[in-house]
Amino acid sequence: MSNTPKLELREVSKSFPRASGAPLTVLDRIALSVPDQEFLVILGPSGCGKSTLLKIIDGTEPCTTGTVLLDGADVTGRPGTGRAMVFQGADLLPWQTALGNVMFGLILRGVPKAEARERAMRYLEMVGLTAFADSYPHQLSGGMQQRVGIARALAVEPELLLMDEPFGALDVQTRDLLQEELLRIWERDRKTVVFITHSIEEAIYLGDRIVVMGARPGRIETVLQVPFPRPRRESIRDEPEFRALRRQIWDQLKVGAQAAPDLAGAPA
Amino acid sequence: MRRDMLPWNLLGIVVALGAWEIGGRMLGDGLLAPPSSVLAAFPALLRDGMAEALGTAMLQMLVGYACALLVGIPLGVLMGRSRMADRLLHPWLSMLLVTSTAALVPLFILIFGTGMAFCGALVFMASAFYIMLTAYQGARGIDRRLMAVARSFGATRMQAFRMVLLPGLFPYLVTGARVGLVHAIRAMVMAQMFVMVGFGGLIAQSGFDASTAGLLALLVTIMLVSLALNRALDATGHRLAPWYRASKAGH
Amino acid sequence: MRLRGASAGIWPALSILAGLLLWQLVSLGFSDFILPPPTAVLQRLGDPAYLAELGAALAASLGTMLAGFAIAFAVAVPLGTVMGRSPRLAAAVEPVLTAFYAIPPVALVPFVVIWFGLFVEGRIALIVLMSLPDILVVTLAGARDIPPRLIAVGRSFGASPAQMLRRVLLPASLPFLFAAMRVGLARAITGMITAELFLAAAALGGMMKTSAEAFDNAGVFVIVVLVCLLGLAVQSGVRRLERRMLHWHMEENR
Repeated sequence: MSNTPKLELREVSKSFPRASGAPLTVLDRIALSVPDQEFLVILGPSGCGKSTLLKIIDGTEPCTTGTVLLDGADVTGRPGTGRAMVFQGADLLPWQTALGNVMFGLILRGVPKAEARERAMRYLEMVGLTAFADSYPHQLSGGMQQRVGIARALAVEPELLLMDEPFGALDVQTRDLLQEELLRIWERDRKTVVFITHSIEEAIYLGDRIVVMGARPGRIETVLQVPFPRPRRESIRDEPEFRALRRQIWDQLKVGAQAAPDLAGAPA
Repeated sequence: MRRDMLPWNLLGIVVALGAWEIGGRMLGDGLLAPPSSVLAAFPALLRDGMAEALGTAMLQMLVGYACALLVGIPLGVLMGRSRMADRLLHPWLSMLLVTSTAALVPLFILIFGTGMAFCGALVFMASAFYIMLTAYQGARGIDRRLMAVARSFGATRMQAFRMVLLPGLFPYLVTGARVGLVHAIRAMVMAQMFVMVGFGGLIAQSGFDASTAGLLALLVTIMLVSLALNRALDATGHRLAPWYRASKAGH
Repeated sequence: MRLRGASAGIWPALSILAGLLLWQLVSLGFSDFILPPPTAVLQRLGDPAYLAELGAALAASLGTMLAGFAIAFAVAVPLGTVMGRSPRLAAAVEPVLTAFYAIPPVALVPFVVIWFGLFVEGRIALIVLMSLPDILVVTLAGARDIPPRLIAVGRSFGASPAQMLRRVLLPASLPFLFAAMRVGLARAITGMITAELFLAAAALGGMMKTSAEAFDNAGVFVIVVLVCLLGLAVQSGVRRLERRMLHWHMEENR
């Protein structure tokens, strides 16, 4: 591991001007450093700006102040290089097959078609969907769609994988399966991951470190180290240590929620 | 239309009117009379009985339009709620929807003559099937889940009709009435232009004038009438059922 | 307008057949002069000379219709797309469009005569004027409805503006381009027959007028039915093309 962190956020803030009075601060001076190959989970209630933060890291959303550094280079507001996003609802292009969707990012980066095809097939295989390469998104289940979404992001071989509540819309069984599968893929080919969720269990099961965010304005409440060794198996969910950590984070979140009583009205 | 876009709405109108005025002055009244000339043409038109002609025309139109509503709505709802009615009526609806009103003009003259029956029949044919189509879509699209909720709460058939079907249908009926009205006015003008009587006759005749000011004044008049009636229907729909504009059919 | 084909067995065909039978029965009570029976209309089509004339008129009508439609489509689609992606431009154009839409198209005829004359240029102009607003409205609504999520995916993967257009915006627009084509063609056919009747009589409209002046109602009926069938054929043709090219969309909205 080198000394420069893979990803560094320096004092990233985001605010919107309001017609009346002071601007609305969505993110307040977020500072964060993610070492190479770390699986970082950002956990927070809806409305804490965690999705906005991820978009800022991705470069598709401008921030008001602050800088985003990838391998020490300033990538603030510049999407496309070194990062790839897995979207909440998979958001596949409906007119492309599973294969075509995985090829999407490669084609955009100018990879020749034959090579893009081959590489895409490799990643489809990784998520276990070789047989569905020619299926259209509407023919795939929600879980399969999200696997394609993951393959699409992995195919561009990003330095940093961004995941925006990727399993949030799935049913519990599919969700558990995909979590396990994600770990399997990640443990084999370690990448730096920033993963967003509002599920405490998901955060503990997947993450090396958990950043707990509070709302109004969005800010980092605390950062926790997850003590479980890798490779992790499903069974750790039943361990007392797991449950204790869950309890601890839950209390932390409650404190944050009490500090922001109008949380219910917050935009997602 | 969003309120914060109001300046842009106004800008569009001002630019269009400005372009018309400048273009009109450059081209001359013979090709395109500018708004100022058009405005000046109104007194002469009113002297020539434009208002009376318009009133009579609207009355004739309303007869055909009312018939279209009376026939189109029940048939459309029936089609939407009964599979058999759908099967039997659908081919006719598809066919009559694509039938151009203009193509019916010579036929209807032979059948109905050139009087009020002709105009009314043409208006009916032009609007009834759009009204029917919208009613059909509304009746078909009634949320199954809402009907299930009603049944689960033990609603009788009549109660379900009154409390779920009708309110859900209403926005579509208003939309159908608005779409139908546009077609009804078009058909009315078409009928009258073809036989050169009434308001449509005035339009046809003004084509022979040396200036287009009179023609454009007539076009602006029918446009304003159409917009006003449409707006009135929209407002009525909104007043009777405040959920109308929020619904899918309200656009 | 999206019609579900009520393709439920033989009932639709039975219904049409019953309608024709009813027409035949009712027409027995009238002279052929007022309401000719369907058989009289069919009889017409047995005459080869008449058929040849009809074919030539149909070809002429179709040519003008397609020319007008092509012009309207070529103008309205780019304009509608730009308007759909720019709320301010849309807000500026919409009131003008609404106002224009409120004018009965046939009332534009005297104007078309002044500008383009009574013949083929005039006919094409009227077809353009009648189909353009409808194509514009459909395109505008469609361009407005392109899912922002897909645009976000393109941006995240670093698509350049050209790539965004080609790989995201264009494919996402295809469904409403087809819808615009269907609506536009239906309007163009109406425009075609309107122009042929209200400008100098020509092609199908001309044949109709000639028949009407000779009080030959069966001849008028033939054209009415033909124009109606033409409309249906064009609609189902476009729909078939759509199904072939956009299977992902048709299935998605099942």
